[in-house]
Amino acid sequence: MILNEHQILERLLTKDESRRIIVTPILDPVQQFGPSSLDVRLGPDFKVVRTSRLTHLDPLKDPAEIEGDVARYTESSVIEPGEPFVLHPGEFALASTLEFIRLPYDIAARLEGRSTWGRLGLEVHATAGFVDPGFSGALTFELKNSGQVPLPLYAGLRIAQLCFFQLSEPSRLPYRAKRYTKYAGRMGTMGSRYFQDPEYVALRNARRRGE
Amino acid sequence: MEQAWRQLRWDEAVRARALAIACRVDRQLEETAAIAKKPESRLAARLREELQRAAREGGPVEVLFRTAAAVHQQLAWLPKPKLPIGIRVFLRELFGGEWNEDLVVAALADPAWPLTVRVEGREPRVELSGSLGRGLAGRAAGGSPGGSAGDESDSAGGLSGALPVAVIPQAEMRDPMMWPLVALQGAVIAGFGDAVQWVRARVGPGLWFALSEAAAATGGPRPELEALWRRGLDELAAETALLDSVAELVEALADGILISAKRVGLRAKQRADGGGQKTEGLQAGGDAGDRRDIYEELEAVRDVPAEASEILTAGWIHWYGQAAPALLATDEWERRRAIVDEIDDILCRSLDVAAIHRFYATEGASL
Repeated sequence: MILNEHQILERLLTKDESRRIIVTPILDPVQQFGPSSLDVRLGPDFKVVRTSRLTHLDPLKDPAEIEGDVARYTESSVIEPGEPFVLHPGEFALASTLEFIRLPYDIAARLEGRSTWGRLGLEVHATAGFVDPGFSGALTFELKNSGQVPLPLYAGLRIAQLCFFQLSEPSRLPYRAKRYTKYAGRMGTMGSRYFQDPEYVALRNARRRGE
Repeated sequence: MEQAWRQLRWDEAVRARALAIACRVDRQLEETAAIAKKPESRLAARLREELQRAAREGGPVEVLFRTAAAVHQQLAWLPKPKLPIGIRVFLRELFGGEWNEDLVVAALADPAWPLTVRVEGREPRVELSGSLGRGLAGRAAGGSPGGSAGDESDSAGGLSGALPVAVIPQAEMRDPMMWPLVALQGAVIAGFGDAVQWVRARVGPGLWFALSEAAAATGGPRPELEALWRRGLDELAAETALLDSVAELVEALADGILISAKRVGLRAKQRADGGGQKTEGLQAGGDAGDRRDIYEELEAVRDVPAEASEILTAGWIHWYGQAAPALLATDEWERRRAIVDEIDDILCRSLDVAAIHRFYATEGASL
């Protein structure tokens, strides 16, 4: 079941912590609420990969070394209120929601773009638009300018929306309680921790044996 | 509000401060090592071991301060991270039209804040100390400030003769509760008559905590500092309006939630509902009773940006009431790091987000 605006409001206001959705701050509910969605805004921090210094990503290197590579090849920038971050055609950047979001164990969500921005060619996620029950933190945007003209983006713009789905019963494996999570509780934009996936441990072991 | 933050003793506050500095230096080493070359990364790894061993051994607090300071100075040999942009935004909001933005903030490997605190009678006096103070004095006298090339702290002092400079110890740049000390340097440099009271009026009683803790880390006179710290506790306890306005922020901070805004819409709505029965219906999971204008209903979740003084005060209350006691109660390094990282990250992000929120509220973005 997708929650309508009244159900979203009830979930935001409820005193029952096991049912409460947290989205903070809400700057203007009149602008942000839709019939079955809540607009979310762009946060101030971005991460861009400096491709000129990167030949390829090798996930089978030592994790500490990969972390160093990722940090060296990723440029972080934070913009001030009223200052633009310009996303050029074809460019990809990570960003995050201005809002802190926490879902109860019986609510999942989907992050979707807004048609206003879609018409300009802005994509807000490449593949990871699903938000698990129990998620807590800022959501990551995988921004891509698929249009023809550079897009100046400002912190606080409503570039996406969240739709909320009620589970038939609460999850017993919510994101916050999972034994293995890589992005729980983060306040801002965070790069991929792909190399921490346990599958790579097996792949690294196999490579070492083959050497 | 329950005043658990008043239970902490001064010596406990000082030890928590020492542990927190160690955690912050450790985080800087971890992060700079990730972007450093291999020899620098190995240096960072060894420094982290040294720091963590000193914290684990739990000797006199002076030893931990000295170890943290010695390791902190080694940060000069590692890549320097960028200052959080929030410091600039914080200063702009704090000074408003009284700051023309020519104050440069530099992060230095020198672990000490360049402030000398003197408590004469009841009023603390603050002077810029070290080379920064000499630079300022030289500028005031119309002379050329001292400073030799190559020495980072001296070069900052030299710079202050030509250009106003405020400094922040590198490892503390992500601790917003200490940022008022940057503002204080700015107010002194700008020549504000009563810089201390000027900053106090804008950031709240937390200024006394920041000043006393910063001075304690460099071996200042303990009884005077303790008196200044207690003054902060007393003044905070007396500020009932401030305590009331930050209560929801303190609660959210303890729950790991961003504290950039306050949901005043809910309170206003409850008042308009005549005791709040209708809104309480929604809060209890029911319907609002009647289907009134939905836009009117939505006003219950309208947020207003929290003031910097409220965010910082909530930070201190949480620090003394929960985070510092938790830090002192554990020997596990990862746990200590998690406690300090969390409060730093939430406060930094909250100040950033509140500034953006305030920008739109001020510029009139509402329908």
